[in-house]
Amino acid sequence: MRCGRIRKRLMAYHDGELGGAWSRRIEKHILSCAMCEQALEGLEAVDQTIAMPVPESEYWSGFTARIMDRVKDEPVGDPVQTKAAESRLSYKVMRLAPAFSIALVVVVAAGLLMEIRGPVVPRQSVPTVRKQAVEADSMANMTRPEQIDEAAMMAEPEPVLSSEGTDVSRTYHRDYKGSSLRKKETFSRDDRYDEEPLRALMFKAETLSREGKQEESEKVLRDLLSQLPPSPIQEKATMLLVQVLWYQDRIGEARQLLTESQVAFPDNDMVQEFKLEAAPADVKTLQ
Amino acid sequence: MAEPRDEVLAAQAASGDLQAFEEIVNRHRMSVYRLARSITGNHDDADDAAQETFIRVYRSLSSFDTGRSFKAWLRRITYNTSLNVLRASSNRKKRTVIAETDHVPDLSPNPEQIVQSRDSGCQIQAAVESLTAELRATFVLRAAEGMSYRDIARTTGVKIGTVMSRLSRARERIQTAMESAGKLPQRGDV
Repeated sequence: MRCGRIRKRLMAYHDGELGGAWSRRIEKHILSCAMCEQALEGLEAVDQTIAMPVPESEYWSGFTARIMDRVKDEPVGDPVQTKAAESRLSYKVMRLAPAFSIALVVVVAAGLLMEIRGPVVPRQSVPTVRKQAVEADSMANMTRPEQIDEAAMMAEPEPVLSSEGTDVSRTYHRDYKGSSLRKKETFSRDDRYDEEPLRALMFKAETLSREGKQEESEKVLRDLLSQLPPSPIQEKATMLLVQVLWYQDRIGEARQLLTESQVAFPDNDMVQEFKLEAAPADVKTLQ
Repeated sequence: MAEPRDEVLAAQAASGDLQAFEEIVNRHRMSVYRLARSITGNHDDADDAAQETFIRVYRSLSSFDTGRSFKAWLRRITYNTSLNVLRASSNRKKRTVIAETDHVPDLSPNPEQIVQSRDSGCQIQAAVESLTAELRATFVLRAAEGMSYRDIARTTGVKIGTVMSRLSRARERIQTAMESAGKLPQRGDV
């Protein structure tokens, strides 16, 4: 494995933030690479330098006494608004008044513009988009409205696929090829793999998840991830697995996996921006 | 007998038990001070920030949700309070110097200070101190407090990616200082 990929994750490894698979890869690599081993030792040495000076013990007895002296006459949990604080507050409000006026004008102007140009589809979290998509699908087997598909595309990470036909694969393919990671990643001879069957598995996992079969989708995804080397498709599959866990109410696991992914893929904005916002209970009603 | 958990003490303190609050202060004063010191960079401001932190905690106890981590809540208050103290202190210093000299001062170390720092072997400490408050705090929370990226992100109110980039920049600068001080071999010498 190339040093570049190891170095990108070496700090996270040093801090104990990497998942098992990457940790094992790094450990294996370090055994045979003196440069990366030196880099790791450098990180360890840097952390030894941190020694914040702490005052002597006399300071601490006075410290607690001073605090207790200040709070003893105050009612607990009742923030004291002194006159100075109140006047600071009113000064701040007065100072912000012109900004509020400008903001009001902008909002009104934007409203008028929307009246003229028609409604704008807002950027939404993936679960919300899914909910809309499933609701739309369930309405008399009609094709989802175009605007939902656009919203889904905006709400990365997972492209929302419709259950029928070629449009879907084209959408997914375009999205996959357009990934910035795709441009960055090149695979060495050892890392080459046949993408097509893996993409088919990814498609299957997405379809199962859309159909509400989260457990089956999870199985497919875990199988897929066990076969994948570091690649854009691995990142997408991981994010889908986060969602699938979330939909199964396995919040802790979903959050843990998301954190690990954010650590493992620091350059992937899609992963960094990914948020699990919808309440799992809402999602369950979709299934 | 096992010591009561922070969350239990917080609930007792919220109902007016001053002894419980005193126990909270004694239990956490060191870590609050360390974080405040890492952000403000000097004892006087760290002392102000640590005191102010506990006062704020006391005043907000009734709004604390005992189902959540008290430590995480305390760290977040410490972080924000320390940044406020640092800003107020910097503004005060700037105003004083401007009033005295009528121009904005160059606060970077002069060549003599740099040589002196080198001679006294304080180069590495100087590198740590020259970090911005955010970089230094992130580094301290990780290296000294052993916090996870996720907890640091929550404490400092940024994304995990930003935590990683701050950590990386902080370590890079310290490592460079260590290399030029001869405490570490230059990278690529292997």
